[in-house]
Amino acid sequence: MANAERYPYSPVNSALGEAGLQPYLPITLLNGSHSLTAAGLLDSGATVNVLPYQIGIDLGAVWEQQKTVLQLSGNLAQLEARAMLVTVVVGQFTPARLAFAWTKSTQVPVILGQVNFFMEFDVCFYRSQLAFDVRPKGTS
Amino acid sequence: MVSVDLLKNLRALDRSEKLHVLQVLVSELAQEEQESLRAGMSYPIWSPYDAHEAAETMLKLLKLPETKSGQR
Repeated sequence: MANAERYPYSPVNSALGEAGLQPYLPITLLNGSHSLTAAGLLDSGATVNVLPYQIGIDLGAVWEQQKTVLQLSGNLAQLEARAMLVTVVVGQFTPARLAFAWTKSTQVPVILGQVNFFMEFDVCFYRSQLAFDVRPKGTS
Repeated sequence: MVSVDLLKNLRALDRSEKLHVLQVLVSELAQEEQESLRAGMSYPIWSPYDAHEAAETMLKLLKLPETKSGQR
């Protein structure tokens, strides 16, 4: 994929061998004066981006000040979630403004889903090569 | 496939060494069994699929003018 950055799959469970490798993208999250680095799971089956509770706290967010309540699905349905806008930097690309469902869960990874990570970035998976390419939308 | 050389080397070990190798392998296999996916067990899938209302709400937020600290 032209003008893309290539990343390797990351091991999350060595006991599972190749099945334990997943596409985690290193990112930097920015919120006001706060910033932190994280690894976001590229999850094309996820409808939305998800931010675990502790990362929101580390970004200086205050739960009570995030007024927009969201209803998630699957295992996250039983936990409260609120909308939060975060600036995300991927590699050398221009920062993007992403909306996250900030969940009370501390177990979930940072999930990068259809709304709106995959609306902002084109991604091509090469699972057989244990790599994936990422580039901003509109890049050719 | 287990190599011929490996088997040859293992057979050359004395009894106590063979038992030690056996213990190590059994221990590692037990550890892998604990960590591997097993039938009948349930594993959490965090992926929020079909969360369309949440997606719609988040898209509306993105269309609003930018505010400080992502607060809404």
